[in-house]
Amino acid sequence: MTARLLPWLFVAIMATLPLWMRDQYILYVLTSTGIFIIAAMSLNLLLGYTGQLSLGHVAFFGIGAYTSALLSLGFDLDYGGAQPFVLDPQPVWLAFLGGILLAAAFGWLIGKLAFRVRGAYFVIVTISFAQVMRMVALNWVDLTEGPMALNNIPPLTVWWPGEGLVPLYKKEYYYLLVLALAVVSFLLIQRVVRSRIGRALIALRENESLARSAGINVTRYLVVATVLSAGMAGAAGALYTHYIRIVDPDVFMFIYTVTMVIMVITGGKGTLAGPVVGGLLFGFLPEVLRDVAQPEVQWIVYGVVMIVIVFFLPQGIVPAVTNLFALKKQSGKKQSGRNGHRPAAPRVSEGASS
Amino acid sequence: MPEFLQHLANAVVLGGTYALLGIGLTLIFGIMRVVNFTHGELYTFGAYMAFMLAGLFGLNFFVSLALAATLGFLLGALIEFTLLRPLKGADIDTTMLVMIGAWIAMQAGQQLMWGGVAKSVPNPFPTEPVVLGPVSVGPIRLFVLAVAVVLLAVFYLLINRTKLGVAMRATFQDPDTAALMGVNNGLMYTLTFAIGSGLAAIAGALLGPIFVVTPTMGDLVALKAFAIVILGGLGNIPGATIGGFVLALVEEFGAGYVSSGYRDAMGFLLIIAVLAVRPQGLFAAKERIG
Amino acid sequence: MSAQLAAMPDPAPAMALEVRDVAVHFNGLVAISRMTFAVPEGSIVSLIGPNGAGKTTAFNVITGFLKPTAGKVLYRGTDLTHLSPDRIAALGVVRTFQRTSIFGGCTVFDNVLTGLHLRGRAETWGALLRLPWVRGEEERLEQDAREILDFVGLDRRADELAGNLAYGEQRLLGIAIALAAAPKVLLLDEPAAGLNPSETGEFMKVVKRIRDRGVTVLLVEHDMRMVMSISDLVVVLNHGRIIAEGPPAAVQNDPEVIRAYLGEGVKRAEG
Repeated sequence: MTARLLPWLFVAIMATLPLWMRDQYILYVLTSTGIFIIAAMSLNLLLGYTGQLSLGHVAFFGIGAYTSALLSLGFDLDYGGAQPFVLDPQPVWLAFLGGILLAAAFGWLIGKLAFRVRGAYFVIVTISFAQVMRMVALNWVDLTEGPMALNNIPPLTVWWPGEGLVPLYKKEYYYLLVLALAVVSFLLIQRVVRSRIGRALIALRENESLARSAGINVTRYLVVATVLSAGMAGAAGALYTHYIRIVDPDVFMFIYTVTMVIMVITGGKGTLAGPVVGGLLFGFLPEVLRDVAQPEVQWIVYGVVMIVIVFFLPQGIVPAVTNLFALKKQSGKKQSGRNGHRPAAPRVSEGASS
Repeated sequence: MPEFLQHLANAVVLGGTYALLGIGLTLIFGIMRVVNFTHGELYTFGAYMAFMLAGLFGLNFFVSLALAATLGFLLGALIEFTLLRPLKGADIDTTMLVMIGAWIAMQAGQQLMWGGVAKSVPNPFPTEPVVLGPVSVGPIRLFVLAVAVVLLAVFYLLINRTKLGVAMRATFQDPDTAALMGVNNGLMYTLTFAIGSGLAAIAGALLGPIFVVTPTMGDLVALKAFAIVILGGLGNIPGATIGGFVLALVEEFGAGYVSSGYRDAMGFLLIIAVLAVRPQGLFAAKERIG
Repeated sequence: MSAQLAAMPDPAPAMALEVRDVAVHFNGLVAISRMTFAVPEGSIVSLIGPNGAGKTTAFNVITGFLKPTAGKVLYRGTDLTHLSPDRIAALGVVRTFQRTSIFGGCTVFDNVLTGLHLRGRAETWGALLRLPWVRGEEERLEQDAREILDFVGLDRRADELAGNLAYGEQRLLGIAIALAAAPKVLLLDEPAAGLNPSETGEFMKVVKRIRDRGVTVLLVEHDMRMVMSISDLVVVLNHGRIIAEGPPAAVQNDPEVIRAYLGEGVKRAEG
């Protein structure tokens, strides 16, 4: 029972943070860590639960970021017609939704491709996809301002009784928004994973032929996984862009995908808590190490950590810890059934034994 | 017309080094089934070694090139021995992740060692271009092309005419039978990875003097190498050679006639386009991964 | 249909599965040269033959994992030949696998729950919103899973990780997963492989119970005791062709069959 309450306790403590944490910089770190955790959770759905080696995830993050930024700023586009196409600045939450939808649309494309292009080829395709996006952002200066970046992006707003729509300039409020959305994302992933859909995704990872012979349509569920995953990553990207209020092509850098991958793998792919633990670890490690070591040394550390984890804790931190607790519990006590259900008493059948 | 020929000339020069990169990776990615993220770093390493030996130590340029390749070879052997051998039998995801870790550490290490400022490699070639009819080519580029062609020839002879080459091919096709015939599979894998890495290093050492040497130069190059391997088919050595030239042609002509900003994107678009239509690569690949 | 089938009690049985003139060629290699046979409704039919005869290839063709070079597969009149494996399963033709036959990283219970995919309807929105009908469906599926585990006798192992089960239990789980898909025709690929005699005996009982529930069974097997004792009909393959078919007793004594299994040596020994 306590195991169930622990996460909620954690969330409650984190929610009270702005009251006693005065350091604005730590708030900033926590907020961006939270955003990355959402992205990591989305990657986990694809990498951990469905078993797809997608290394282009930052593409969805960046697409969400740019789309939301462009929609909320408004833009005019010269497409060769008589008049340029002009879009007025849209309400910021509409832009946010637009970011999610466009990212999800690209997710759909990648999902369709995933079935045809398997394994290591798929890895390369996804990386290439992210690189192409980066170059588009870099070169389509008319739309994206290229390396000069889009700035003065409006912040997200929250409807408050009596005050109407309040723009969230204050770090404390944005932090709470990110925390809330992170909790929502976690719950959504949890619902998917524990449903018929989730079982189909896991089946694809565990044994694809068997999954097919059980009636699971591979293409369809690959697409479901990538669309959900991409949409959530797009939301994270949009959150990011309205937070730091500036976006440039560097948002598509491969190093961000790598960061998300490290978070998921070290935390524990295929577990719900994995990306959260990994996210917190790799969100804070740079800060902890910042005074002690230069950025280059930090990345050497991350590289080594990743290798060490793969060699010694291949399942990640969360499963290693849960196994430790399970071993302790098992001494003497027999586990009760799933969700409290006790297995049915053995029927006196015609003798089939297990 | 002269412009066309100039682009063609540039593409041929570039294609030679791309072919070296592609062959190196097709050995590792195609045959050993390792998604080798360190390939780009070996390329960078080769370039930095050339810089260090010729630039800092003042060694003869050609000697530096040879040494850079050898050092790359040894580094590749070290990586295989310490990181890949212990993982024998693990699935492709695991080895991929280890390679990513190694890639991050290596790039950061090179950054740490050399700083972010671009370095140039001193070389004995005159800067005045050689004019061959409508085409002008820098002398060093001709040298690079010549070396690439020689290396490609040497490599072919090695794989097809020597006992070692036979042993390597045996291990690739059927490790168990090869082992029964007395071939040391572990050694073959280490050698393969080392040769592949050595080829990447020499490609870096050759191109370093032409362009400049930066810590991140390997990233784009690595992805292009993957493009070449996919174009040519996994494990297909002639395919990788052709793929290298094809990519160089696409880049040169794409940059020249379509848009120079998207030059580097050409390779990626090519990968996506090819795989979307023919998921097994352009040429009939030996076997597919996954 | 062949004369042997006419000897069966029901003179004109309905055919659950028909394989017609199926051929499979791979780059010059002939895996199956020309195969025609039928599986009557409600019967247990065994497909036997020496290694490499083409039995698993036949299974792959029937269940959609392999497209034949020629010929058709019909299920109660519906053409299965160009359908995907998941469509074929949805129609009611389900198979088990020889080797990796389970979802190793999931619990036994979740394995069967996953197998029940076709009996559910909840999709993405239903899962995300956790609508009441979805919750009801989940409970129903969990109940079904418990029943299936009882039926094969794995109920006590429900919470174990499937990968940790003993070999014999894993084969049983493979059958449970197949049953979960509510098959009308069940194809078992060497279900008794690697089982000791008492485990094989238990397996035979399970297979008979499945047939008694109205499911037609087609099995590929090497264990002759099992084949001869539970089959209604035996089809013998060799070198990609059918060399004999009929009730077990007839096939056992067929000289062609004996020669295929034991080789020319027998003929010479007989003089």
